[in-house]
Amino acid sequence: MSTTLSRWLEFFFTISIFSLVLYKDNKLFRIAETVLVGITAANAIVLTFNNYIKPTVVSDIGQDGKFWYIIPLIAGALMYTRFFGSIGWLSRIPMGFWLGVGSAYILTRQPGLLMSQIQATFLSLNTINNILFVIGAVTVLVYFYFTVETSKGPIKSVSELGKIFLLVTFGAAFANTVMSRVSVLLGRLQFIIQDFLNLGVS
Amino acid sequence: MNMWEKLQNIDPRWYYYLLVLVVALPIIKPWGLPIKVGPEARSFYETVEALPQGSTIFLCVGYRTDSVVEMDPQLGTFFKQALDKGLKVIAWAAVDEGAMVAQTVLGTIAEERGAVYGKDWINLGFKPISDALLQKMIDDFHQAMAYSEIGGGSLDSFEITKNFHSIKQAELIVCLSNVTPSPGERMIRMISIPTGLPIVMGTGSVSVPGEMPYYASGQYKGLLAGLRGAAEYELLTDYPGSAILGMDAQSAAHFLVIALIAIGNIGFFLTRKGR
Repeated sequence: MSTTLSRWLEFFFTISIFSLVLYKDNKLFRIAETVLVGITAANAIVLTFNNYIKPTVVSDIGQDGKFWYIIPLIAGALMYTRFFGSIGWLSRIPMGFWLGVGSAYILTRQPGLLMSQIQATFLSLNTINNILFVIGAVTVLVYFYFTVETSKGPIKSVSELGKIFLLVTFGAAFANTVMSRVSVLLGRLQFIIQDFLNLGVS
Repeated sequence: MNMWEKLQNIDPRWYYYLLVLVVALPIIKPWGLPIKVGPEARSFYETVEALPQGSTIFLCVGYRTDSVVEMDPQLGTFFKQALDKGLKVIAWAAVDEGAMVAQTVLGTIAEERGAVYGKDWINLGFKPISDALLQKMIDDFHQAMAYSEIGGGSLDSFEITKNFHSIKQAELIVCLSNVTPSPGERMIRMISIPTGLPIVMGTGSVSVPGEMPYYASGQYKGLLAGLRGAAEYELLTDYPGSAILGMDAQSAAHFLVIALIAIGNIGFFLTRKGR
């Protein structure tokens, strides 16, 4: 059995977290949960400092003398003025800037992405997959077509078919989520059985 | 109370015990269920395989420790394939824990294969993904990734990045991510479309429905879908690993979930009919 401290800690916290569903709410689970939240918060603070603040303040401004970098720093700091009622309006300045830049990027770059997606639906109807693909794309678009009444007449049938395609999509998404969660359980059990207890094939 | 009503009122913990048992048994004694390779994983493999020796690949790592079971085998297998083919890899983490998880996998494999850090591969650490950053990678890579290298080194001091001034100099982007919004989708929009740089994607199962349309439209040249995709990739590259070993347990768990859904629905209709 592995005796390294990190392995024992990993084993302890895995069992502690599992104890919530396999046993019931208990102190071990609470300890593990609190440690996880604490470590995640600490990690985020350290990474934010090392990757955002330190390179800009210490290296760019302090060492390289790029003093104009102070302007975006001040703009960022203005976001916090929303916590001070009377000067809260100042936070709209950086927000307006970011909205403008973001919109410009989206308007210039998003059409290319969407056009390829639309182009991908122009398929030859020579295979069952292609036929299903095109029918699915068209009927789902009809389902989300809000400017005409879709709850009666022939368009209702098309819309209902679109709903079925959507339900199949949701089912596939749910199945993929189950698959992902099972993978997490699998990883923990692989650790306990193969790495910690040295059982099975590894 | 009949059998169906008893099943509906059973303590949910029994289902968890059953799930743990079903997943644990194949880990102890694998069954060796067959794995069929799909076109998505094959395209991923072939795109990397087609690159000439000495090509540079830009690797985006966009997953955290919660996804290592699915994503580490994808990353590890890709890196082995790249090093064995003589390709250079510039890795960048788009999410906070990405640099750390990447370093664990890449560092171990590089050491095994005698790859030289800074010459054959480099870990540029974590720099939060944004449209502006991706644009800067095209315009001035050194400025975009300044001060981010995991050891704190300057890009000018490494052979692999010394003359790498734009991401356009890479031959391929490999994005392995399991977060929302998808870094891959952003890289298509900001880099792949304007520069024509091809991109292949690897993702966790939960993100597959969101990523699949980009593969279907040809914007991703290949796609590894979750642990299954990683297992297929391991088969294709002939580097068997934890993904192949995990597929029996994954299949067993799926069978259990399908059986429980079927039993639950049968019970629901029968008890409703009884009323």
